[in-house]
Amino acid sequence: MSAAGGGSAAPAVRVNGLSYAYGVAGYVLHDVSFSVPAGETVVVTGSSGCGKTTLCHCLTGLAPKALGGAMTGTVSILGDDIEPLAVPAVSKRIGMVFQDPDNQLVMTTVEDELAFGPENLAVEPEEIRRRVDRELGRFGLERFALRSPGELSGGEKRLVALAAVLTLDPPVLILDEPFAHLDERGRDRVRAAVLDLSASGRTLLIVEHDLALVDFAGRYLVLEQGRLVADTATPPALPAYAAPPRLEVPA
Amino acid sequence: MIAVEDVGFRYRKASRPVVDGFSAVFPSGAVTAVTGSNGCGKTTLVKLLTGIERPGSGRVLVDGADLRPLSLAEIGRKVGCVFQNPARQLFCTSVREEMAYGLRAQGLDDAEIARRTEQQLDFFGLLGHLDDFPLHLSHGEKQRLMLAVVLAMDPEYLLLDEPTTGLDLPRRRALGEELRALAGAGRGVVVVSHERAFVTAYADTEVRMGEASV
Amino acid sequence: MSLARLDPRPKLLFVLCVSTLAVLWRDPAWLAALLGLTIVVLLAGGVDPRSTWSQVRGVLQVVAILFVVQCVFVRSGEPVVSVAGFTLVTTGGLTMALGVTLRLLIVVCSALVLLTGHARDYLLALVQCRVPYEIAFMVMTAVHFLPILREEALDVYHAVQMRGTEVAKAGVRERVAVYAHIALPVVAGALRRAEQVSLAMEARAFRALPRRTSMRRLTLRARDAASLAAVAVATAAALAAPHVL
Repeated sequence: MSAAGGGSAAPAVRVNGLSYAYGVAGYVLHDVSFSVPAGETVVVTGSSGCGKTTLCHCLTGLAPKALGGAMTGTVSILGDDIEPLAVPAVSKRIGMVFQDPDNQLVMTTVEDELAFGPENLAVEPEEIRRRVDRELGRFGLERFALRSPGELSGGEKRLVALAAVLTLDPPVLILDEPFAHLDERGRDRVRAAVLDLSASGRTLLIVEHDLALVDFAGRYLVLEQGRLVADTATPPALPAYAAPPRLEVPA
Repeated sequence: MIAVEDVGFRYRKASRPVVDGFSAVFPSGAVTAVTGSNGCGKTTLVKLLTGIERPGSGRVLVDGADLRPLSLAEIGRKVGCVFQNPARQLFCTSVREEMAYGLRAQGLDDAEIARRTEQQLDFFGLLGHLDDFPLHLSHGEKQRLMLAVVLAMDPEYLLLDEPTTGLDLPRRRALGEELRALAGAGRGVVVVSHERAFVTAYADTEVRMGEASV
Repeated sequence: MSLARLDPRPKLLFVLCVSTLAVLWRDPAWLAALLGLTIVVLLAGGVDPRSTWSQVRGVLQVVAILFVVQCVFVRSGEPVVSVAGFTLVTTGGLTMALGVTLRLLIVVCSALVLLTGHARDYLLALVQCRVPYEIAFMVMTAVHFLPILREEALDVYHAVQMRGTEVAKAGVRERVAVYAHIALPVVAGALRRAEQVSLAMEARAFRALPRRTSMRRLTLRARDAASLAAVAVATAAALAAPHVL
């Protein structure tokens, strides 16, 4: 994919002194700074409620534009501050796949779901068709093109949600817990797709707390209570389960 | 012990049964895991064990008593259940009310209700939320509240559907240890989960449900 | 001619015209003729009577009940059926009941024509007929989320019972309390869902530009145009008929 960055020297994502507060609830993010060069795969991790999802909303401009709240600091995508940019300009640069596929798949067929984004940006119909076919092919979803997304398995829904964002051709992509609620088979499929995207030179930010699923990433950002506490190339050690003691599992 | 004997079940309008000739036992004093991939009938089993759905053939026995003639309210006294999404089980306007609802239905007096409420909320670290709106709690807190609600009703069996969903590792570990403690105290705990590591770490036995035949 | 392969627009026009006539006309004879015509269109269009029957059976029960209620409660005209000197059914009641029943049946049967097409084509058809995309989208989303709301409400209904409420033995007051409890998480869940859907749609540039394009476009073929014209002419003729005859 040639979508990533081109030859420009600007980092794909640059976050500088970002703080964010929802209404009266106090700060959810506190003075977060980092930058991601084009083509890198970065994992954002941390315990529940540490501000991971809020960070995603800030990167896509949904916070504060759609969600309200107060933000200070800057977020630049591909060298441009996103604050003055209108939503369509932001959505061409950075795409986000949300946690719950049921709340982001709304059309009656998979193919219409994939066409939804570029249709909103008034892309020419032939070009939309080309992108839809390209993404259906990438994830092996051709045979589901005319099925309703609601009828698919959890893993397939996740792939459709991912494909529906990729038809907007965003050079930077955020995945919010892409493996949540999936069984092992679903996880394997989504993991293979994410690995492919990572290898294709796209800039990826993956929010995930199970680091074993994203061991292919080159960099890990750890958030704790809204602060960036670690930025490392090796997966940070996280507490494991207690050693299995007792009775054996019957066959 | 909960015993499932040769149970078959088919949803209305479905061409083939989701559960067919299924048998299993869930003993007291142990954590039993139910595993299997999506679509193998795990969710249906939860509905059968709680009486939400009744078996088309075969029977479900709790301590030797067939569930078939019992109402959901009667089954609820013996088998407590925390849904995969506890937000669909919290229907009162405060945590205090939520705790009291089931206890009042059991005919307990206010003093006993207050005692159990405090005991359970203290154990689950929610005493500070007594007057909060339950649906405003975080997912982890909602789940702990539902555990407190169900355990205050003192059921002999506890059934949890995919309890690790949406919990991070430290919280999963805390949950696993709670379940072990409950089994240690003599309750029968049934955990439906597709999370292999959790099952290996905390379950005594495992019931595998087969793939739905294609 | 198969209805399944017909453009959605003649079908929408057909439903609109037939329903309008059903509301305008009062004479049971005309209504019966209209119902007959609708059924002929369905059968000629290749709608399978057996599978259709299973879909409308529930509605027919309601229609039957309405018929009986209307018959008994409208008391104008001459007596038709009397039991032990008490007039049970009158001519006025019978006419009224026939009219209401026929109208309902016509609306239900004409709507069955829509089942021969896919929801996405009706959405596209409405948009191509200049219905604002937001409105068409809202209707589609509402229909999409109804089953989820129903499932949530059922979950809470079960949860309330599992906490010891005997719904089967409950009086009216307790039942009302149960419904109030069910409404709380269902409404809260619907609001949360609406927020998440709108965020996800916004991230995919929904309503970002004043104009949007469509990947697909419906084109009227000769037989679609002919069907449109036929429906329009037939409706005009039917409207004129009572004055001419």
